[in-house]
Amino acid sequence: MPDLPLTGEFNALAFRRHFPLLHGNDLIYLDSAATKQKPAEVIEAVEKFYSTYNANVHRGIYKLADEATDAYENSRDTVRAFINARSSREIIFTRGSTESINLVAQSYVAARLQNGTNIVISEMEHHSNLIPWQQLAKKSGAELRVIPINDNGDLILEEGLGLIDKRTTIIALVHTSNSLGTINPINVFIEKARKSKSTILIDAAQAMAHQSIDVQALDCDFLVFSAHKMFGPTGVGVLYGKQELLEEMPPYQYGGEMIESVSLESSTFRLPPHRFEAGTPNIAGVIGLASSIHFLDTWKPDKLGSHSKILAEIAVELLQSIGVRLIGTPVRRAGIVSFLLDDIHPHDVATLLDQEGIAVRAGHHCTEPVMRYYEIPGTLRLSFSAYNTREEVEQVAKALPRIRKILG
Amino acid sequence: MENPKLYHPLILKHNKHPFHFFKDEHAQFVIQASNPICGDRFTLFLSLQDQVISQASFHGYGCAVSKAATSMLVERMYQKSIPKILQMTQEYLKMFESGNQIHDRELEIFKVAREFPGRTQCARLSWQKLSEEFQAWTQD
Ligand SMILES: Cc1ncc(COP(=O)(O)O)c(C=O)c1O
Repeated sequence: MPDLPLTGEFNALAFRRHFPLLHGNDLIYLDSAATKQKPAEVIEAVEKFYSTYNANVHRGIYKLADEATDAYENSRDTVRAFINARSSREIIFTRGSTESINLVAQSYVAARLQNGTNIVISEMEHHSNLIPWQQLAKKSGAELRVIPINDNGDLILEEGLGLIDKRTTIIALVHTSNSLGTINPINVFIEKARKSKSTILIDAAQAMAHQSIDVQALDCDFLVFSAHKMFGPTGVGVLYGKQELLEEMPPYQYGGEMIESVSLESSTFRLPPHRFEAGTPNIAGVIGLASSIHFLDTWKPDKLGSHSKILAEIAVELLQSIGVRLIGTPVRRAGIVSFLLDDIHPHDVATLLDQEGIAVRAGHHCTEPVMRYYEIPGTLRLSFSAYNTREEVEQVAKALPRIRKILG
Repeated sequence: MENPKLYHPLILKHNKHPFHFFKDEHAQFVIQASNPICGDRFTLFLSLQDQVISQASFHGYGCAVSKAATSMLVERMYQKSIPKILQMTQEYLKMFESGNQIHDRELEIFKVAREFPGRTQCARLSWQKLSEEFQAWTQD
């Protein structure tokens, strides 16, 4: 056994007890980057909404509707406080990170693009922060510039910063890579965006449950994230945008809830955030998100993140002693480790791990350009949360040599 | 891991030592079978003489199951006519839905893939593609 770091003071087993799916279950769930398991608190908040104050929001003249509307709008303020936004008008509820990015692409960026302007992204973006920009660039004639990565899976900074200039309409950058585990130095890019008077969007989907985020301190223009990756429900997420930018933006979709007045010929639209929330929103989801934030506030994202990171470090050491090929050895790593076992196909390893009750992800993780960079079809990915334990990591390390014997 | 159910010894054997695993530059027909979701990608190289397959090989990348299934497909094509191969592929592909026995009992080692989340596609990949191609040919 190599010398391993301790998992410190954090009591993962106490944390794990909050998760009905995991509590008393031997399942080793190592796919938390895809989605996190849900604590009882969140499940109960959603259930309580449906069973005690379910009503549509913003339109009822009765108590129950008021209660639902209050819970919905209070959730907005919970999100505001969580990321320290200036105003809850800066918080828009969406279906998730993907929709948040598309909203910015369509409503803010599309009209500002033309020949000669450019969009800057990185080579490690999740497809959801790549394809919207790629398609916009194609349509508008704007240039898509890509910050390259190096063999460690880190952004090449000098080169990347050199891509940003006065004609950069938007920089869209992932905070934490879901396939490499890299935590990017987003501050450096935000600073550069301020200098070049560009707009910058941060994809924080993988960050929110692992470290605290303060949008005012960061000074990013847009920030997107998904509830389900922070212990909340699926199908709901957030777009944070600076108020002055949101106010300039036309609606993204049209329908109920977002209008001021309507005639057959024309309509006027409400101010943000409601301008961007057409139709009946995912009320239960939003309430669940608020509950997941209370849960995070209790446990502290920084603590949860540091436990996940320690598990990742343990995994790296154990994997190295087995002799795997690590994909991504970044300077700053989150609780995510990608690797290949010899030349065995990741799906075969994942199937055999599944037979031992270990759930891991195999594939390209919606980051095909990263796979192309390493010239591999996919990786095995272990992604940790604070309900995981060192023993679980050791189980994986024990299983791999057996799998190697079967398939090698 | 006493009983790696999906991985019958014959699958492991074909994974390690696939049948006619090479690129054939002189092949008359080249057929690509790929699954964009998992990145598996095989190329089949085929030649016909007197209405039967006279030369078959394959190359590419995939998991043990998709590689073995492709290898065993290639192995079975020799000296068979296109309608005959089509019949064989259709029977094989139907096995995954019906769970029925098939004539070629050896191929039933793949049936268990139905029990593994997301893995049926691995066993079907090359067979499906070839079946579609041959179906189109016989309809032309
Ligand atoms: C880095 C990153 N960005 C964006 C997304 C997309 O999130 P969603 O599918 O919730 O919209 C993901 C999800 O895997 C992700 O990991």
